[in-house]
Amino acid sequence: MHLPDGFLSASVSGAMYLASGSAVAVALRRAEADGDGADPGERGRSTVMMGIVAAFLFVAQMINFPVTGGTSGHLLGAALATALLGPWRAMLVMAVVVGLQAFIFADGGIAVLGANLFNMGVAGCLASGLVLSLAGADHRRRRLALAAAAWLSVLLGAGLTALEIGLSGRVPLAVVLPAMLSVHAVIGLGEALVSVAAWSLLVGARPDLATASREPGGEPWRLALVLALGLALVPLASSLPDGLESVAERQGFAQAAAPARPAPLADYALPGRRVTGFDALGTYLSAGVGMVGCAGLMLLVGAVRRRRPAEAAGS
Amino acid sequence: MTNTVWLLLGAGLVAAAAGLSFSRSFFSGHAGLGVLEPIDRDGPLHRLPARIKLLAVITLALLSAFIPAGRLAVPALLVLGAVLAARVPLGRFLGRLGELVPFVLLAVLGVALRGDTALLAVTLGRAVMTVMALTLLVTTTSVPALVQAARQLGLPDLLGTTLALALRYLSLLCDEGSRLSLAFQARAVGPRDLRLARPLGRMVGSLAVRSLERGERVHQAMLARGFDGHLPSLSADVPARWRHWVGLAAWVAALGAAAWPNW
Repeated sequence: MHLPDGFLSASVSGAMYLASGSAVAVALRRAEADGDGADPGERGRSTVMMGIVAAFLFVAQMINFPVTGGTSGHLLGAALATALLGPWRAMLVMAVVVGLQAFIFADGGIAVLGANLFNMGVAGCLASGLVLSLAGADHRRRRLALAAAAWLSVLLGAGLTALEIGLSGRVPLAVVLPAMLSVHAVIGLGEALVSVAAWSLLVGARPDLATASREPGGEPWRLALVLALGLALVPLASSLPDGLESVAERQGFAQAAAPARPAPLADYALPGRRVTGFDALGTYLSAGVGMVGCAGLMLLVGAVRRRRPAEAAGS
Repeated sequence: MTNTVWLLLGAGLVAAAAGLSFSRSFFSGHAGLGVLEPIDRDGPLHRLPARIKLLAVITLALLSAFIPAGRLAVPALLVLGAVLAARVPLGRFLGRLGELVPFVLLAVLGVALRGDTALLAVTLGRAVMTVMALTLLVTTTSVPALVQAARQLGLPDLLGTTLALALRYLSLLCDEGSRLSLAFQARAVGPRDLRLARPLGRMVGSLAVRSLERGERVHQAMLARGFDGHLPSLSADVPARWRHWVGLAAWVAALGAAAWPNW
């Protein structure tokens, strides 16, 4: 899922930078607001733990789980990080991991860093935070929620990546979206199994280390706002007529460009997305996803808000 | 009929690009981890301040996004010039570029479907240039100097501290991970499919326990040395002089001129 540079258009990259940047800014404020308390023995503890978890996730992403027939996938870790640190600190940790991979190991591009961070970190951590906050403290429900969060974070990342590639006009959305989603629906199962098994072992061995998980997912309204913002920006970026960069490419060699030859996939994607309605379809599709996502989030947020006072009264 | 073939081909390439591999090993390790070791070579690019180099790479990647295919030679020549000036063994670049292969195939597929060769040139050109520039950056700059440069350029304190600590423990935890997976490989019998995911997950869990316990010990040790949540910044960087800034300005001007009418 680490996109290299060049695979997204300038407008999509820019929109994703904006979405990731604002999410990280919120996460920084939230993480700094709930510090380590006044106890001098706790000073800086959460920061050290964030550093360690970042290194742990980096290594955990090198662990391959077999899928089937000799193929293997690897862990993403956004859900596990959220269970360990809460969504905001997990998001910062994912930002460090993705940034590290891009700058130090050339794994993922720089112009598309915002998109990579959003796909692999921001979206997964927000979704996981929301799902986990619904689960409450009960151990069995928490494990179930973690499984759902892990699967969802992989699928969400894959779907967003495909959407961005499609909207950038690199590979037709009709090819890339079903391919990404179907492959990752299976990889997501592995992610869910690995995350839950790892979490259960951790809770069994050192329940005190898993304390951060008990804090609720932060203010759900802000959470929903950031996610909705991110989803809303993608169709916006693609609906900019032609996108800044496609203009650039056209102008660069408008004369030299040979007429598009008949595409083999004429039924699905038509060559020259600006001529046909395909781009509009992509925009409507992502806008639809955004709207459904927002509506779902609002319902979930409502459920959480109603549930919390009841839980407090019950316990 | 042919459409189905194309779709299947697309699905395979997407899967490959998405990180699905045919590896039999449970732990891929990271060949690139060598960049964390101190740099023993010397060269003209090694002596440049990390801040300048970092800014040069970022501006190259960002401005290239606006440069049309017809003028992609400008950033390509700049990168090539830097590669030649740096006197870095060329083998360093090959491994990194190899990781782009699935994406290259994916881009070729996209072109086959859309019939736009210029887009292919732009896509691949940018991907290759960024990878080469980044490889150059880490082979000529020590990682602590890079972290310090990022902090000087305004990386928020919490992110900077997390980044520095993560880099400090990366090779330790990587060793831990490879030991655990070697032991797992010795024990693991049974079908290589998703049924192995749960035992592998328990391995990830014990890696998490060991990592977090190490984190606790580290925190205690750091408290004893007066840690208060912020890492002091020790200077590891060459000071940036005005000629460095002039050079950077020329670099940005050349890229900006190539991108100019399309801003």
